[in-house]
Formats: sequence, C-alpha cells, structure tokens
Amino acid sequence: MITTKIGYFRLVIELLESTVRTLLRPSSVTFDNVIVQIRSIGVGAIPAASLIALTAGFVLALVLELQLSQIGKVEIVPSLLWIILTEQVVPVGVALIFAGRSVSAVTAELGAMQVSEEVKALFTMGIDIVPYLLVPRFLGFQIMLPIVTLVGIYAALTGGWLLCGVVMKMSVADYIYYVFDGASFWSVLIALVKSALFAFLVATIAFYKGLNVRNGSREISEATTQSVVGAVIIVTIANAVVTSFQLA
Amino acid sequence: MRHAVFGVEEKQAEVMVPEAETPILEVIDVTKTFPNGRTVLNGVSFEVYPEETFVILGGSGCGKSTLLNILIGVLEPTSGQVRIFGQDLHKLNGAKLKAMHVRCGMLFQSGALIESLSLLGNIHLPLREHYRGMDAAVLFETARLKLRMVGLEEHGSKRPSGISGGMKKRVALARALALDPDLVFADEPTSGLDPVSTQEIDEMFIRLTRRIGAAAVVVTHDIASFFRIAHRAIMLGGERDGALQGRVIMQGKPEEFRTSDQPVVRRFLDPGIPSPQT
Repeated sequence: MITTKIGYFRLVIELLESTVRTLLRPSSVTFDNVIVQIRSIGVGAIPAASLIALTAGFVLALVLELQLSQIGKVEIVPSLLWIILTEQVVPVGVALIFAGRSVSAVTAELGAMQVSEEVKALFTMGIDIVPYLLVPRFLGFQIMLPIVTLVGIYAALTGGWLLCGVVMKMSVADYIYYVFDGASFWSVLIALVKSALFAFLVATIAFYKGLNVRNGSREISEATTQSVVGAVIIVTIANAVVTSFQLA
Repeated sequence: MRHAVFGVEEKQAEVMVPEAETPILEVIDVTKTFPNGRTVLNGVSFEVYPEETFVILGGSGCGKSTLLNILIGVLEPTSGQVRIFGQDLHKLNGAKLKAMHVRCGMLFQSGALIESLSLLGNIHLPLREHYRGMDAAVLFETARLKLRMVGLEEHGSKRPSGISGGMKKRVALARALALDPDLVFADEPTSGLDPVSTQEIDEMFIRLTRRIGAAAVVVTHDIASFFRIAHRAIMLGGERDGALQGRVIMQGKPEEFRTSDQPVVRRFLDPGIPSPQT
C-alpha cells in the first residue's frame, strides 16, 4: 500500500506485479477506468502529435532535398525519411509530447490526490492503490504511446510527401515506391519496442513523482516540473542506448 | 451483539454508555517519535468498546492526527501496539489488512472525496470494489440509499468540487458507512462548519453510526461536539502543556471532564479560565 513515501524500484515492482495479475485476471480492474485513462492519456495527444510529426516530416524532407540535390541523389530522400522518421524522430518525438502533456497531467493528478487525502481514503476503504490508480494509467501509456507513434509515422511520412510532391514534383505512387524501396518493416518493430519502453519509463516517473507529493500545491508544481524534465532526459538517454545496441 | 439505538439526542444525559464487553479497539502504550527526534505521542493507552463513541480531545500539536493515522494503519508506532478486532493492526498485510479495512470506515477532515467521481460514485466505489460479483443495480441502489440517509439523494450526480463543505462532510460520512462498518474513525468531522451545521453533522453522525451498531473514534477539539456525541474520551496534552505533551492527561466520561479540577482540562474546556502561568 502506497500511503507513505515509496522508492522508485519498489513502485516499479509493485506496478509490474499488479499489471501481470490484472492481465491474467482482467475482472480485477474496472474496464471503464482503463478506457477513461486511454482517452485522457493518449487520444487527446493524437492531434498535437500528428501536427508535430507532419511538420517534422516536411522539414526533414526539405533539409534532405537541399543537401542531396547537390550530389544528385534526391530519389533517396523518401527512403531516408522512412528510416529517420520511423526509427528515431517519431518515437522520440511522440514520447516527448507524452512527457509534456500526459506525464505532467498524471503527476499533478496523483499529487493533488495525495494532498487532498484521496489516496489515504482509498487505502482506508481497503482499495489497493496500485491496481485501482496506477494500472489503468500504466495501460493507458502502454497502449496509447505505440498507437500514437504509428499515427505519427503516418503523419510524418505525409509531411515528407508534401515536400516531395510540391517541390520535387514526385507523384504519390513514386513517393510510396521510393519510401518502401529497401525499407524494412523491422523499423516499425523497432519504433514499437522503443515506444513501449518510453511508455514504461515516463509512466513510472509520473507515478513516482506524483505519489511522493505530500505537502501542498507548491510541491505538486515542483513534482510536475521534475517529472517532465526527468521524463525528457530519460527518453533521450534510453533512445541513445537502444540505438547504440541496435546499430552495434 | 448489535442493537440499534435510534433517535439519540444531543443531550448528554440521554446518551447511554454501551455495556462493556471485549474491546473492539485496544491502544496499548503507543509512542511515536519522528525521525527528527520529536516525540508526539508518549505511552498512549485506551480501549474502545462496541457501539461506543470515543472522543480523542486535545489542543494543537497534541498528536491527535498522528494517533489517528496510527489507528488507521497509515503510520506505524515507534513502540506499543494497536489491536483492532483482536488483531495487531501493524502486523496485518495483504488480504487480512484489506478485510480489516472493510470493517472500518473513515471520515476525513477534508472529506477526501474522489474528485473524478460523482457523489454517488464516491459511495458506490467501496461497494463496487468489495462486492465485485454482485449485481451493479443492487450496488447502485445501496449507494443511493446511503446518500439518502444523509439527505443528499438529489445531488448524486454532482462532483465534489461543486458542493459546500457541509455537504462534503455528509457525503464523506455516507461513504464511511457504505460497507456498514463495525468501527468508524472520524477526523475533526465538524471543523470549518457553522454552529448549526456542526450540530446537524453531530446528530447525523451519532444517529447513523448507532443505527448500524458501529463504534466510533472521533478526533476533535470542538467542545460542544464532544459533549454531544461522546460516551467516553481521552484528552492528550498539547504543545502548551510542557512535559504532558503527547500523553493522556485524562480519560473518562464527559461528565467527569465537566467536573474535573485538573487545570489543563478546565482550561481546555473553558478557554476563558486564565492559564496558571499567566
């Protein structure tokens, strides 16, 4: 029961145990609660993530086209877009959007629940805080971050096509042909694995910071800032580590 | 043994002290020292019997809230023992701790209602979590009944942020009683309320807890409430009481407090009496 200060690793162990129990016995969690969290954590992030991915794809295509046109290799712009966007830019970008939007919201919500004694009230009602409060939010992150990443990849490639189509006069068919020429769907798998890892990291940081709030609104704002900064740092470091192993 | 006592009035003379039997709650020589070395509770002992309303009195800094947090299992005592229903509270975990919490209700000072749920949802929550196999309609009807008991049935769809402090206390009381507990804890149930609302909450509290035959442990510094609701009480020494801070200064029935000649007790009950030091 998490009513006193809790360490990060103990929280992670309790969360993983509880999530496994929930997946083995889905009736132990309220389905409506999971849907609410999926909606608030992930669905609301889709418009922002799509717009940012679209513009990122457009700008990246513009930069690549400018550089590669000097050596007469503009036809490889779409395939480079595929690799860079799918494996690097979109998974990290979407995780950073979640860090700014959903991590801050979850930290503030859990912190406010601690300050207003809602967490203590749940404990005294004999309700396990981890399955009731954390597992639905954890599933929200784990389900929605990969889904929004897939949506982001589609939006980013669309942004790339806007540049290729308008500036390079490339047809949609040619663009698709060049994107998938030599493209590996392994890249999508890498993107999904990365986004699941990022979801785990940012969610647990949000839970840890939020549940350890004790004294008032100032501590909530400090915890929210710390969780967003922590999530941004851990996502970029994790991406560097995973990419290093992947390319080694 | 459960026999409901309906229509209990606020007048002390009409409050019947339940006959003594096995205590439902035993606090045995509890001491709490925080990591900064400050001892806020010092050898506190008392017992609470079934259907009894037991009040913990004391001024600021006497450790009332710390004691309540120990009694509900949020804090562990540095030494001593808390036995609820014959079990050592701080040695319980997992299913046993949950089963114990099901038999206890807690009314928080702020209400501590779940903001993301409606008022009805707040009362439905413990029912839903502990009676998963039961028909949802039955559970909702039970929650509605509890809300009706505190006179707020028509406000069930409202959110906690949209109601007054007095209404929050009433919803919190309904939620504390949702599972028909044997023991109810209440932290300053009337703080922040006007005298009329205070009396209403007191009357509602004693009427409803006694209707289900629950014992109650109430932390308060409201003297009028104390005389209205208590069968017995203890008074803890506050920060102005020097060496008595965190210790039990007096234990007894309200009329014993009323007639006490202990200066600390008399000063607490009637702040108009000058302190011996002044």
